[in-house]
Amino acid sequence: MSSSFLNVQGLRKSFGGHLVVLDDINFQMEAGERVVVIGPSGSGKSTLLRCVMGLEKIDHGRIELEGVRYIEADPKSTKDNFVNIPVRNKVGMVFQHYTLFPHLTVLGNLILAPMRARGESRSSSTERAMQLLTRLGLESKAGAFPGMLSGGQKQRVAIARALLLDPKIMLFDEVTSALDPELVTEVEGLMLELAEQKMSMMIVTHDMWFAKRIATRVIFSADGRIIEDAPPSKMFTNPAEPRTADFLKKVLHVETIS
Amino acid sequence: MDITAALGFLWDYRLALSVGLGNTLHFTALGLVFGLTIGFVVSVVRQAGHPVLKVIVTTYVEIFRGTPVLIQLFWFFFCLPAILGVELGNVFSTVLTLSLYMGAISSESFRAALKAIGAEQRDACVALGLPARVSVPYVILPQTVLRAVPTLLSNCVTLFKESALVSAVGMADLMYQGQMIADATARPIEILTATALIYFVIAFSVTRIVSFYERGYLARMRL
Repeated sequence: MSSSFLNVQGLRKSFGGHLVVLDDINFQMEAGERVVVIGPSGSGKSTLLRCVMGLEKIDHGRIELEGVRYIEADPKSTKDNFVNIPVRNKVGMVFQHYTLFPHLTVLGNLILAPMRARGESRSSSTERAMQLLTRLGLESKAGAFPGMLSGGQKQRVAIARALLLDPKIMLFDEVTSALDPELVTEVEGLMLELAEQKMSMMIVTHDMWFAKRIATRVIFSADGRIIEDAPPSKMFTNPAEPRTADFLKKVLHVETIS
Repeated sequence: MDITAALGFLWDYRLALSVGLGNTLHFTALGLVFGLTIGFVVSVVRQAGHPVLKVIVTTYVEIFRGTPVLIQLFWFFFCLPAILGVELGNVFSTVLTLSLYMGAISSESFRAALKAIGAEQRDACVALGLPARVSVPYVILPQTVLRAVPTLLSNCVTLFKESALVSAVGMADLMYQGQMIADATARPIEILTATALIYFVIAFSVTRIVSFYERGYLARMRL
């Protein structure tokens, strides 16, 4: 057992047993760190986040939060993973496509889990939800359905919905990739605000400028492995691995002309 | 043609036509209740049931979607009693056929609606720590029903119109009554036009409700 805040040990994930997406990932982070995972498409970045959230069945390995194991694969069996649900519920996640519940209002989306899964009263969860929406400037949207919101508003509601459950760590899986460029800032701004409040985060993004701005640590992954792990100042100016340098040269070049 | 005379003639047969309409609505309503229940159960079995059960219910659905309702009616009226060696009763055979037909077509509507709720919604439920006792009644079921309502209402209209076929096996529905009066009075123009109008007014109203619902409620939610 390690004393790290988040501890991923020997994580292996394959699809159908042969397509290996993550191969023996060992990774630790401390509370308050903001780890941005970068790498080419198909390098397993999103899958890593999904494994930490417990959305994927892993083939091998173990994941701990605050020293408590909450996901573990039994290598001798093909059964489902061991999952400690109360601990897993301390992890929050926001997805690329918002994944709001379209049949519920913004407020309904926010209070569903606190009320129905955590037994909080309607009045208390509504009060907390309205406070949070007010802080985000979304209080006028409380009664709106998600379909009536802009992409940026939807994504901020999705972040608020996760935050209302007081997560210990937030996972952001390409949360600005589906947004129109002019809406990206409002979502990134909210994430930077969370960073100021020392929220622990793991972020997958294609936006290198944002990565540089928000990260305390950057991980470059390729072919299901962690190739390089460095602070942003080092990663973006003087990467140690030729593969990292090669990747950064490509994406940064593309971004400067686009 | 004298319109007043035609209306007067129809008025004389209002009772016979009402009885026919009553029977049509009765058969349709029973077919709907049993058919929707069968359809929902079948869609769940096809989504998550035992492989053998899946094959059985899929065969059922394909047979009923792939054959004319008229043959289905004849089969349940004449062939099944002969095979079983028992009399089934006309109303029973009628409702059984309509229910099985409705079950087959509505199971497809339910199935499509269940499928349309993507893996992403399920991911969101896990990420929010929603156990099945919360996610099924508050997330999955409402979205399935809301999505399925337009096609299910169209299925209801289809069943209502197809139910006219029961006249061919001698059930006294609206179509049957219309035909009988037309034959007896030798005035098919008035009576068959009136019968068609009755079917149309009811079917059209339901269709309007469908588009109203789709444009209003569903559009607002962008389901």
